[in-house]
Amino acid sequence: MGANVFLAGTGWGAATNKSGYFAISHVPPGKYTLHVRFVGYRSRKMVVEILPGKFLSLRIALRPQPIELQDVEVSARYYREEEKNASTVAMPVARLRGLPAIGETDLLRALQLLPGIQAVNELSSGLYIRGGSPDQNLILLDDITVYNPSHFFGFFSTFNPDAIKDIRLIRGGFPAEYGGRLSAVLDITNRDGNRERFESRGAVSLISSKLLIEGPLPRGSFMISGRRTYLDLLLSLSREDNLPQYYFYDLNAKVNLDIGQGDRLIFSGYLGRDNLHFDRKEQNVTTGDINIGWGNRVFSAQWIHLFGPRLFARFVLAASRFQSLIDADASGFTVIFDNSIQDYSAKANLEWFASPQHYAKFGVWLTRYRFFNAIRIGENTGFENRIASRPIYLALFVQDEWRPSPRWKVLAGLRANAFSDGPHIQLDPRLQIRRQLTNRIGLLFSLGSYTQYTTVVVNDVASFADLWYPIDDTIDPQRSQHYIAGLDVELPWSFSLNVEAYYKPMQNVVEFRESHNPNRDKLKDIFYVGRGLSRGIEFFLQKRSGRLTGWIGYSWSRTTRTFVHLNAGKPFPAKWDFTHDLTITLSYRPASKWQLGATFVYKSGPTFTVPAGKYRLGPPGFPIDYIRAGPKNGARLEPYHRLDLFISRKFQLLGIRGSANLNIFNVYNHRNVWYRDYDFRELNEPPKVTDVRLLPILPTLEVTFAF
Amino acid sequence: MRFEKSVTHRPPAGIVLAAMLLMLVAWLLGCSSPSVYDQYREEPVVECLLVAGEGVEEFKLSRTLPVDSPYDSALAGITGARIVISSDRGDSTVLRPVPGRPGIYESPRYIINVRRRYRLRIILKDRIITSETVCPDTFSLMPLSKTVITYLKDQPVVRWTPSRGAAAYYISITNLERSPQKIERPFADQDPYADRKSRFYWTLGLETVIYPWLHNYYGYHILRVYAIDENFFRYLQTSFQNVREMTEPESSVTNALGYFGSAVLRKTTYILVE
Repeated sequence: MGANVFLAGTGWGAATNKSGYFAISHVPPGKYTLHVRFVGYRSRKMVVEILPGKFLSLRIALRPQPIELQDVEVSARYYREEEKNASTVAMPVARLRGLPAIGETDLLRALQLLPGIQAVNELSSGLYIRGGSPDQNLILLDDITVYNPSHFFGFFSTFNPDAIKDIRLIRGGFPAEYGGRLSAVLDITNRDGNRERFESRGAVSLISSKLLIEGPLPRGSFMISGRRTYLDLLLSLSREDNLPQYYFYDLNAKVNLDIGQGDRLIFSGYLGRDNLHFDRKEQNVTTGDINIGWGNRVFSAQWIHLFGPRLFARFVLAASRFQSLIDADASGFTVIFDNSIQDYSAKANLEWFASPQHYAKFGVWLTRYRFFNAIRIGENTGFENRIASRPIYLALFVQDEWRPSPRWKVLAGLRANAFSDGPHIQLDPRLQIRRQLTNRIGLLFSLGSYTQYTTVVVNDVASFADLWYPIDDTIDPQRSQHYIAGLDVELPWSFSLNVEAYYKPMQNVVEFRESHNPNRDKLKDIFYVGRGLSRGIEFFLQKRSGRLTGWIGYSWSRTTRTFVHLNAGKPFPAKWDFTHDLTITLSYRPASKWQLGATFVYKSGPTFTVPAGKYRLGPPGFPIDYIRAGPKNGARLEPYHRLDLFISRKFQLLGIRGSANLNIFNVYNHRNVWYRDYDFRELNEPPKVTDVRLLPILPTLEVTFAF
Repeated sequence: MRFEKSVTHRPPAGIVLAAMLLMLVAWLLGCSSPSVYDQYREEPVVECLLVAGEGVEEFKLSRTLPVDSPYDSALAGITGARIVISSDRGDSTVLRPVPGRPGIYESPRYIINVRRRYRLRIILKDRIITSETVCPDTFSLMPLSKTVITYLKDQPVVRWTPSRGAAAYYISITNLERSPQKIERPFADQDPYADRKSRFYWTLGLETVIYPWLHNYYGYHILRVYAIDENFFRYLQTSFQNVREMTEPESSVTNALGYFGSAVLRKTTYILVE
């Protein structure tokens, strides 16, 4: 995916698509030198001869390159090209490894360091992109939608960096081939596996161990990767009763099989699970226990077929499920929450390399959902609530990348969406225009319309309890429009600067009503429906190659929501509105065996609502004391700032290559404020006010190995 | 080696210096703290549920109090208000204050009728508060299959006929014992209402519920089912306050907090919980 293929000394070239295919059409007959370059692999060049009226079919294999050589100029060039698309960030996996982390490298936490992407707090790996909430991001793993990409209550992401080949994040203005979400796309492709030899690599940290094995198959390759934490094993050594037992694991696997000239089958799967078990004991007698399990299961089968030298097709059958199950028993009183979303999808994507000027894509995407949510309290108690819904989503898209001249690029597309619950039908046009002013300066404009038919009730402190809902006939789908203007400049010394301004109005956005819903409700009874607006400007200065790499990102943004029944109908800042956000990441290689990394984050404090009074109100005979809120999210806690460090030393021991990595999170031990707690339990006394703080300094050690 | 050729050996000092300066600026900007309370503004609070077939027994009009002062019902009650309730048939009543209970008003002889629209108008020194409600239609509560039930074992079904115009149904269960025995429930320490003799529950769009276990005590209870209007339903639905998010119940009165609702209470049933 994204390898550069070009004929030396000519202007002819192409980038491979997601499946590694490319087409260079209308090349005059003759002999040429073909160059192939891709990050992480050794470059290749070969002499090819184009005969009059003939197509030349080539199968080119690239050899992996040692990881320490990956971040070189060629990769920098490729990623700069990718990032010339609107709001796109292409992140080499090697770069993730040079960033400070808690315990181990984490994809979503690394992405939170990019401008325009917010973390609501350091305990969450959720991505709040340009004013959108995490459910407004389409997260794809090998073309399969992942609904809850987190472990450990949202602290870690489900993606194991060792298994990842490519990461593409589009923060806005995404083309018509993507849809069903309002804000952004995170498209992750897992490694295909080494077609030449068996390899393995792994890591042991204070939190988890992981192992990846890949190698050739008779007509293809495979990759399998697993990870497990062992907090439960450490806690079991303690003599203390009433300690919870917790672990998570995940497993990625992928098989590539060539089944003929131009045909390939790809099977890809992911299985991840978190388990929490807590026995409450009093005087060595169990008085209650809680079992919580949650996780994702995703699987896809892809058939890649060439209908001809210029028409490429990918057919996908995929299934994805997120489920959380809470089973609590206290003195014989049971409570069970069973919550899941299932997605069965069929996709057909066709790519037509029509001419050097036109590259078209069109396709269809059909999804059958199953939303299920059940609560049972006690046996035969009467407390039972079930919600089950099976809507269908259908989308058709067409888009064309038109290059009328070397300096102009126009990407126009249209996506038609239909959703059975309603029913609802929407058309989403998309347009992106790029003008290269000089060899180093480019301008970009993008606009598009976006529709989302699902929403989620987020639990801030327990991501496993997120509840997905499809829209129904009582509310319209969420809509947004993206207006983006950007400038990118290639600077000397391998620096590049990207500046983007965006304006993103949203309609029919929802906010959960704080209510008990003992029966099946319509969505209008569960959510407030209103409007949203997000606007901002982002500066992204990067240095991609050399001993010193990194970036400085700054964004100014404002995100508001407006609901008739909230804040007296006036707009208020979203909980994830952080006006100023500055991030500096540096990675430095003083010597071939050493690598140093640092990340500094500064941003405006989180918004919160200040109490303005108290009052008493209730049903007849049942007085309830309430706090009168001031302007919703009208105040801010103190600004957030943190410095993390990373030190890595490579070694070789008994033929095994490895590295020892020391991560220090929050080096100067600044306990940032998570939220302000008001304790009003004694209404006749002033409330106790406490600033609940986040993590202190946290050093962690990890050892990686490969053989 | 290609790697050696491609890297650029620029001194990083300039970048590091710039980064450190930015960190310093950010650090200095970080020295501020928000106020603990917002400025207090007195606001009226209306609490009134009109019940069909009954007079206006207890209309509460209070005010919000400052966060950091004790809650005093006498101080909170608003006196001297002119409160008028009128119906779409042209009849109306002016509520009178209940002596010795500041903020409580009544009009016990003004009987509420089903399917009528009632308007509220309150005149205060600085504002006029208005609202209106449509009283739902009558309905019948079926007899319970069991009236002596064992806690968490029996599950009688509560049934009633539909009420036209009802937005939802409100069920309240009240213990009638003078010194009732407490039910040991799990997580009761997390329940701010674990000591109350009354509990409530609501159901939307259904005329049947399996008996809700909402008791804090054993003994005799009274069960009431109300067909309620949209205003009271919206209050109930948002009645739980998430203090961290500072959510509040939806108001159905203009220029004030609270609700002005109406309901039909058709029948009561006595239950012994063992």
